[in-house]
Formats: sequence, C-alpha cells, structure tokens
Amino acid sequence: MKWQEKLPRPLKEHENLYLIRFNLGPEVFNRGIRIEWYIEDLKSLGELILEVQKERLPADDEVAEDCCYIAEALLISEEPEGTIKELLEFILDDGVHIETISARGSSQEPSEEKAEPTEGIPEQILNDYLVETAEHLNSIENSLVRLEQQAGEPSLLNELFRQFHTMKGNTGLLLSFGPNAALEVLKRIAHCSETMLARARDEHGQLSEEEIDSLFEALDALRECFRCFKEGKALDDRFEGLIARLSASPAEGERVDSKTSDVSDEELRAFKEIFLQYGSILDELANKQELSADEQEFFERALGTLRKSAENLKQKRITELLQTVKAPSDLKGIMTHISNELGKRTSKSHESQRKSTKTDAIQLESSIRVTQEQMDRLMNLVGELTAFREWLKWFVQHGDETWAKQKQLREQIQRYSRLVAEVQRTAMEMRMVPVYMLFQRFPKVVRDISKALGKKVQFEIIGENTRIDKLMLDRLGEPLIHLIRNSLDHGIEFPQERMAQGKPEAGRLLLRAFYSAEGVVIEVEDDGRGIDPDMVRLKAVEKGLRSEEEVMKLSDEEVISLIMLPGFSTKEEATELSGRGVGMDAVSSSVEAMGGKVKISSRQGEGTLVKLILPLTLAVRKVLIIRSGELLFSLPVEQLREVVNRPTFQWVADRPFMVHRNEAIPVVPLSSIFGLGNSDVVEAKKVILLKEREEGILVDEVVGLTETVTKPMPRALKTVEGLAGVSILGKGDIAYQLSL
Amino acid sequence: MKVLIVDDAPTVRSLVKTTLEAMGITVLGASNGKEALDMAKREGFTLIISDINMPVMNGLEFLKAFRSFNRRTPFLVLTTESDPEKKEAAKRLGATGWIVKPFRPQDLSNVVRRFAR
Repeated sequence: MKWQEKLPRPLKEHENLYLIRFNLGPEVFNRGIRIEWYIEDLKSLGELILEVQKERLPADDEVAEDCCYIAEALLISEEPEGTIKELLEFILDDGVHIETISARGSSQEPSEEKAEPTEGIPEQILNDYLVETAEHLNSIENSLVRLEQQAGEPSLLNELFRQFHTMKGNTGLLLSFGPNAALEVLKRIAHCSETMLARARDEHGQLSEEEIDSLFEALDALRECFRCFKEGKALDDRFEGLIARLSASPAEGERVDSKTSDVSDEELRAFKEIFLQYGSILDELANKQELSADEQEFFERALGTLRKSAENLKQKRITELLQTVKAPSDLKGIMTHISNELGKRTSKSHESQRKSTKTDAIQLESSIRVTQEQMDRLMNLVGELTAFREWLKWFVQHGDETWAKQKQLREQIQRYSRLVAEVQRTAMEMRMVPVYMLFQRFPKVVRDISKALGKKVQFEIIGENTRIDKLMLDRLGEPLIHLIRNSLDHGIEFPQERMAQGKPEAGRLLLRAFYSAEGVVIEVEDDGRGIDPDMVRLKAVEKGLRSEEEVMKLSDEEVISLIMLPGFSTKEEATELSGRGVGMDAVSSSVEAMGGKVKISSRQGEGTLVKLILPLTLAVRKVLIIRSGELLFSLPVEQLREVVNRPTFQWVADRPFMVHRNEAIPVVPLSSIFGLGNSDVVEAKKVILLKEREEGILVDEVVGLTETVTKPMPRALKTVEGLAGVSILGKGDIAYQLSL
Repeated sequence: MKVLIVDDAPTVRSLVKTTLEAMGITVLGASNGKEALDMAKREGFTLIISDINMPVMNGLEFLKAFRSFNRRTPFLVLTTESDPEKKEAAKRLGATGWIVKPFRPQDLSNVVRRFAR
C-alpha cells in the first residue's frame, strides 16, 4: 500500500498515523484467533483504511495450509503506539507489523528504537544491577530529603557521594559488556553529581539550595535513564542541559576537580566492592582446568576492568600484581595478595571505615536473594490476593443486603484472611537462608590464613543446611571470620609444637551449625593450645578491668569469659592477622545486638570452643505436631527420640510406667507438665520419648510433621517454663513449641 | 454465551464468575485441566480461560488436548507477568492470548468482550 495515496485527509494536530501489515498464517487461526475482531477493535481506535486481499481469506470453518490472510491497514488515531501494540499483543510477533508513520499526538511516546539492552551481559550481573540500582535510587532520594533538612551534615554528604559513586561504578561495569546509550547518560549524570558533591564537601562542607535542587533533578534524570535502559528504549539528548549545569563549576572548578581525583576512602571502598564482585567469579574460573569461549571472554573483560580501575586509583602495587596475570590460574595467589593489600589500605583510616560499616549493614538488609520457586509461590498468592481484593470491592459496590450475600461475603472474607496469613508466612520463610551461603567462603579463608601462618589445619563444616534469618547471617560474617582467625592464629599450634605434644600434626578446626532448644547455635571449635585462665586473670588485673580479689574468686570457666570485656585485647598485642583492633568484645557485642549470646569454654592444651547462641525468632524448624486435650504443641524433631504407638502401662507405687523394649520408662502426661490437670493415663494413645529427658511424655494424638516458623511467646506466657515459642500452622491454628 | 474458567484457586474462579455473570454471561468452573477437558468434550463454550499451574492436569496439557479437537474456540491462559516463556509455550500450543495475573475485573471484562462475541 502506498499510504500517501490512501490517506483520505491531512492529519489533525493530535493524530498519529500508523501502517499496520497483517501477514497471518494458519498457525494463528489454529489458535482460535479471528482477524475480523482485531479489525473491529482497530476501527474503534480511530479511522481505519483497510486493504484486504480477499481471495486469500481463509474459508470459514477450516484453515487450509496455504491460506493466509494478508491485509494492510492505515490507521489514523489519537492513541499512542503503545495502545495499538497492546491491542495486537497476542499476534504481534506472528506476522503483524506496525509502523509509525507520523507520531505527533499529545499522548505520544518519545520515538523509540528498540535496542537489545541486555545482550552479552551475564544474567546474574544484570539482575544484580537492576536490583541494586533501584535500591540506590531510593536511598539517594532518602539522603537528599534528609540533606534538605540538614544541609551541612558531613556524613550525609559522604553517604550521597558514595551512593552516586557506587551507581557510577556499577553502571561502568555493565557498560564494559557493550555500549548502551541510556546507561552512558546515567553514568555521566552520576559522575557529574558525584563531582559536584565532592566539590561542595571539600570547599564549603555543604550544599547550596540550588545545588540540592539540581541533585533532585539529577535523581529524576537517573530514574528516567534507568527506566529507558530497563525497557530497552533509546534516550534522546534531553539531559544534556542538566549535565552541563551539574558540571558547571565555579571558576576554579578545574583545580578542584583534580583535587578530588586524589584517592579517597570512598573510591577505595568502591574499588574493593568491584574487586569483591569480580573476585568470587574469577576465583571460580581460577579453579577450572579449561575455559569455554564465553568464560575466556568474561575473564579478559573482568581483568581489563580491574586493571583500569586499579590504575585510575593509582594503586601501584595492585596494578603491578594484575599485570602479571595472563591466565585464570595465575589468579590463585594474587587474589589473596590483593585483598590483603586492600585490607591494609582501608584499615589506614579506621575511623571512616567504622562509619561505613554501619551503612553497609543497612544496605545488606535491603536486598535478599530468594529462590525462583519461593518467588513464584508468593507471586501466585499475591495475584490471588489482589484478585480477591477487587472482588470484595466489587461486591461491596454492587451487593445488596440480602442474607445470602452477607453469608457469601463472610465466607470470602475468611478465605481472604487465610490467604493473607499464607503470604505473610511465605515472606517470612524467604528471609531464612541456609548458613552455607556464608560458610562457603570460609574454607578458602582458612586455607589462606593457615598457609600464611605456616600451620597445618584440617577444616570441617557441619550442619551447613541449617537455616537462619538472612539478616542475622549477614551480620555473622565478620564475627565468624574473627573467631576463625583467632583459632588459627592463637589456638592451633605450629606443626612441630603439636608433634612434640603428641597431637596430630594438623590442627582441627570445626565450624558447626545446628538448632538447639536455646535457638540456632553456631560453634567454632579448635584443638589448639586453649586459653590459660591464669594469663587471663593477670591481664584483666593489669588492664584494670577487674581487681585481683575479683579474679581470684572467679572459677576458671568464668574467667575465660573476661576476654569478651571491651578493652581486653588491644591493637598493640594483636598480630597482623587477628588484629585490626576488633577483639572478642566486638564479636560478643555484635552477637548480643542480634539478641544472642556467646559462650566460651576452653581447656588448656586441649582446645577452645566458642558457641554463638542465636535467637530462635524466625527460625524455620521441622516440628512434630501433637495434641493434648484441646491444645496443640509442636516439638522440634531434633529433640525427638521415638514415638511409641500402642503403649502398655504398669503402675508402680502410684506412678505409671511404660513397658518398652524390656524397659520400664516412667511416663508423665503432657497436660500435667503445664498444670493443665491430669488426663487419664490409660486413655492416652501415644508416648513420646525425647533425647534429653528420661520420662516419656503422654499425649492424645500425634497430628503430623510440619515445617514452621517459630515466633516468640506472647509476653503473658513468657514465664511459662518448657515453652520456647509459638508455631502458627497452616490452617491458622496455634501450637505451643515445647522445649522440655 | 458460555465461558469456562479453569483454576485451582477458588478465589480466582469466584472472581471471574462474579464479574462475567454481571455481564450476563454463563460461567462454569473447573478446578483442573482434566475436569475442564471432560466438560469441554461434553459441551461447547464461547471462550475458555485457564490457569497454567494446576494439579492433576495443568493448563498447557489441557490446552494441547483441547486443541486436538477444537481449533476455533478462543482459549486464554492466566499467567504471571514474570513468565514470558509460558506465554510463548502457550501460543505454540494454540492459546489465543493471555491474561496477566493479577488482573482487575475491568481487565477481565475487556478481554472477554473482545474474545467472546
């Protein structure tokens, strides 16, 4: 169709002109699609000039193989292209083509060119980028709003600077996989904002009102760029003015600029982040014998980026190290060197690091990885919920007050509440992750440290599938690394020393996670030299932490806990490895901050065991649901030894015993443990045997096994002994969690 | 006019039912593909709307079986936005189109108005 000839009249101001070509094959008709309907729909959007090749219309009730429907249509409509595409959505990729000939309608979208934005970017990296950038945009907004109220707050300026900087860095990383116009602009805006902030911070220590306004504008622009990137849209040059304004600096701008290019802590930190991101992937490659073409390409690109950023940061030592890398296997030794190098650099300014770890924790909180399956389940539930809410709304609007409808409404509302409860539970479960997500990096840590120390260590991890709240796990990394370092450095002896004492040459380090009645326990145990209680006494007195009298009164076991007092270990004494000025006090305070506690036991010459006992809250556990009278109880399976089905009882001196495997086991009804009255022993149908309790527990029914999230006890019941929390079951029932 | 809604979630079924009945359409429900297939073999429908993830027989299996004897009845699948692959798979098996969950009653009535004429 030559559209110029078919156009019946000139376009009006708000009208767009589209040319739509249909070239439909039998596969479309076999999907039950009737093209007449689409034509009708298009007609409803404006003026349609249609040209059909009638002889090729499919016969009415069957679709012959070679019978296609070919037509061209010219549509004059005020609707934007998006609406047309939406209408044709189901057949858009199947032989329907839209061309926008003239778009000037008021609701028009910017002319766009579908670029393939994500080609060549590894999916994981892309996903991370999308999640992180969305978060950064939000935190930038938060910081800006706060900055508006307290313009001169230095920590806020630094925070903002870091946020823009990280965003720039991340975007640069993505751009290393291929050019993208929207990302390029995003990076430039982030860069200008960052430069402006650095200038303001260094010159006046605060931002002017205009500068804050520009930053808000920059934020909007970043959002727009991000959106364009996500949707694969091209970006015009509408932000050039903004970029110019952001970079417009006072006369001495140039000079200031060069000043900020001096390596700041923030930049170093950013490099460290990039390094860590790449590090884990490169590490994997380093362990491979052969690389695929993709991996080889990735390796070279990653290396290039690292080299470039190291150069930019004037990290001479790191640059040199990276120069020696030719193949992935060269990386093995070097990665450790670099992280040590980075550790040295960043620890130079302890103060600023302390500050930043605080924001680190907050950033970690805001992003959680979940499995596809969990996400799908939640999405399905949310979908149902939304549908249901709409139903309720509709019902309220259209419903009359008849009894039947009220009853129906009540039923539906009940169903609704159950759905909400399930969504909540799923969301809670999402927060639970297996500890191996953290533990998996430790074997390498242990290997590197013991190598550096010249010690031999056999490292073992037990219970890595124990699940724990993600928030907790994130905060456990540092304390655990510290404990591991301690064990390797101070605990485990050198091989000669061990042999002289008749110990095996290699020391043993055990990291274990498990559920206990007290909560989730993580243990770090070594078979090293242990802690000398007398040395602890001496030092505690020396440091003025306790008086001589006090320490003598304490048992050896109690004395050992003194090493967790603030100020007990100091920088001067700490060695290169265990040092960094964080002692056991830091470990114990971070564990306590999570509501947990640290227990240390040690035998001189035999080893040390550090136990981190973390709260049960949110921990998912497998439990046995049992009923006693009207009440349901849950029993964590790890406490369970056996369920006896048809017990036979004997009475000895007024006390009931169960005869089981030729043993007489005293039994007690569950109900009487909690003073709920004595149920008839003979009536009881099951007896539960626990691992850590001699008596068998009489219950009425074993309902089944289930996985549940334990919630803390309601305050009113907190004092009841033997109950650890409340489990909420599928149907909304409550079971009291036993801890007998 | 008669529409068959197939979904294992009773909430979705009742939402669809209520919305379409208000438009004067007869709505029958089935809670899985097998049930739906039996019904579709027995009687004719103007439009079929089916969820994908269902026990016993899922929506795609149902669609495939249905298209083996009926190629002209519009068949819409319910899908989550996150799942372009499912849309493609459904199209290959003969789905007319899809409704993205979560959907509002007016989305539903718009689509039904287009495909059940």
